[in-house]
Amino acid sequence: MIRVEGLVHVYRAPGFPPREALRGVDLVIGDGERVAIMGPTGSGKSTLVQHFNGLLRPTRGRVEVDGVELWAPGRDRDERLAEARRRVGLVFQFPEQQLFAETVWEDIAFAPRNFGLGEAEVADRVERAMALAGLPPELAHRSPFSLSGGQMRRVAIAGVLAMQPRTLVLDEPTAGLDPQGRAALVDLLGRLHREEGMTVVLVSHDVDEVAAVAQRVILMRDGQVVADGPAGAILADTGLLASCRLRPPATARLLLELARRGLPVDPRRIGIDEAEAELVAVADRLGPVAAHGQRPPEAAPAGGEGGP
Amino acid sequence: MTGEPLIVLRQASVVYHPGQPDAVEALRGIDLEVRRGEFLAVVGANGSGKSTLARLLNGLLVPTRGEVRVAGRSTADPQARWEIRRLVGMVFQNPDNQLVAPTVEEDVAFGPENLGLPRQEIARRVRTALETVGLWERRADPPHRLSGGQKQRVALAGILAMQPQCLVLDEATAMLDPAGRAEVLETVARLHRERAMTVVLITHFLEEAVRAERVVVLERGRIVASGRPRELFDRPDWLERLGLVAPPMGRLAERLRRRGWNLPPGIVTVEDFLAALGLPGPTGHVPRDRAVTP
Repeated sequence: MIRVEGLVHVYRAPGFPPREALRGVDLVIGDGERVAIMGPTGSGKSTLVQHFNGLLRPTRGRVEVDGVELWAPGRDRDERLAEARRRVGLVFQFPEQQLFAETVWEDIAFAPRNFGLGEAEVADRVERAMALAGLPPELAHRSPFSLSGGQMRRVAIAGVLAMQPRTLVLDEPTAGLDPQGRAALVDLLGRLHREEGMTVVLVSHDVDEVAAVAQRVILMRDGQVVADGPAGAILADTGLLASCRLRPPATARLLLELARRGLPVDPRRIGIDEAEAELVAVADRLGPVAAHGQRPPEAAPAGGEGGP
Repeated sequence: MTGEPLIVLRQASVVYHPGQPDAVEALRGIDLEVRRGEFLAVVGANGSGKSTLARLLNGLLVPTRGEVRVAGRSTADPQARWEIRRLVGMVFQNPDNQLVAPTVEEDVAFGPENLGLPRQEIARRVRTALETVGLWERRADPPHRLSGGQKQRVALAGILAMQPQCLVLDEATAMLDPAGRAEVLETVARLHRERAMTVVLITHFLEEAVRAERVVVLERGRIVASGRPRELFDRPDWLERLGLVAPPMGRLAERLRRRGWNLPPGIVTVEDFLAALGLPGPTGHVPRDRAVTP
């Protein structure tokens, strides 16, 4: 669990006026949650997540990981910070720019080795992390720089997973990837939550991606939290999103338009399965194009999203 | 609206590291014409050859085989090179790599200064270009103070100050937030609409490519389809095989069709979906290539 109280962060650089990036943030992220942090550029999202594992030091306020306050004075502070960084893995924006080793294997092994683990344990963790990140074993001895952008990004994520964190925090994990790279990453985040029980926190601008991944949305503007609640409720609130330079995902915009015309649909049902169900429920009021009656879908995909 | 070809590619192929073991054929025999005043989108997965194609269009890259002509002149002709780069301006993906000067105004003036134009003419062009992208009032700011979308608009102004005939945007919105993306696309769409600017938009966001009059789909260095955006983007299975993903409304429409809904083809945006249900969109807007009878 991550708890943040009264968090203020001021950036100071010689020759520039101080800039208050976070202006009193309070929030709790519980174990097993899937949370998206959204907001315009400069709203403080990236600064906030760097506090989740003690990479930044608060100007004021406190940060706790699993009940331990990271920055409280005391001789054991370095140990507390090290433990927080093990528990909360942070994947930066464009993390593939930080790959450096000659092989994929060496890159992923770097952090566990640094952590002082034996070679057998390191090997075990690298293999596991590669499998989790969806990297085929035959890539282990390739240069990371010979891979596609999407694969390089998964190597960087595997490097964080090899520390076996319980919480994974990702800053704009799909930025710059092509649609298939994005879809694969969304799928990976779902799997980490479902199969590994990990807490997933992502910073994102992409409302369609957030609609697919997150249960909860924290909306930020000017260094403060302006809304925090269920993803469906926040992503269907056009006015609130507009104040943060965002707009609802396509599913919510369609449902909002139908609701505006008096159809009894719930715009908070933003998942594609949910939106489909909402439309089917009002089919008899949608005119001749909609199928009426209870005709079952032909060749419906088994379980959710995607192609046939 | 669209006239004779401005850019012509004939059997253009590009091989990186030719003759070596790691030789890669990035483009294979591309035949393509970009007509004057046209808004063309080029889509494809990463590695399909989109960026290589972009670099052929203004001679940053010369084809290994075949030929590229801009306004009738071959990009392989060293004497035509500067004129071709002036006619065809490019905006790249990363806004931070394109701006060089300490202020917005100086950055936009950089190109016209290199043309050796008189001072007054430079000042006039800089002002017109910055007014066009809506950043004249930010002219004295250092570029690093701007948002990503504003930086891309400054890059765009720098190109406009060269008075080009064609804009090529090579994933120019990929690193921007949604508001920044909309800013850049609106500006480009307006230049096309109001000044008949030829636009080549290279993107993997199909929602962006929908604005184009024609789309070319690349797969492993070849053109595998060409047509109106809504004709092509309504085929989720086919798009997925190409490494692309249909937009949410296309996927939702496909699911409902499987349930027996009689939805017309070509649903990509929320407005398309509402129109298909017989409901006018939020602004009564009917998508343009739908309003035209074939």
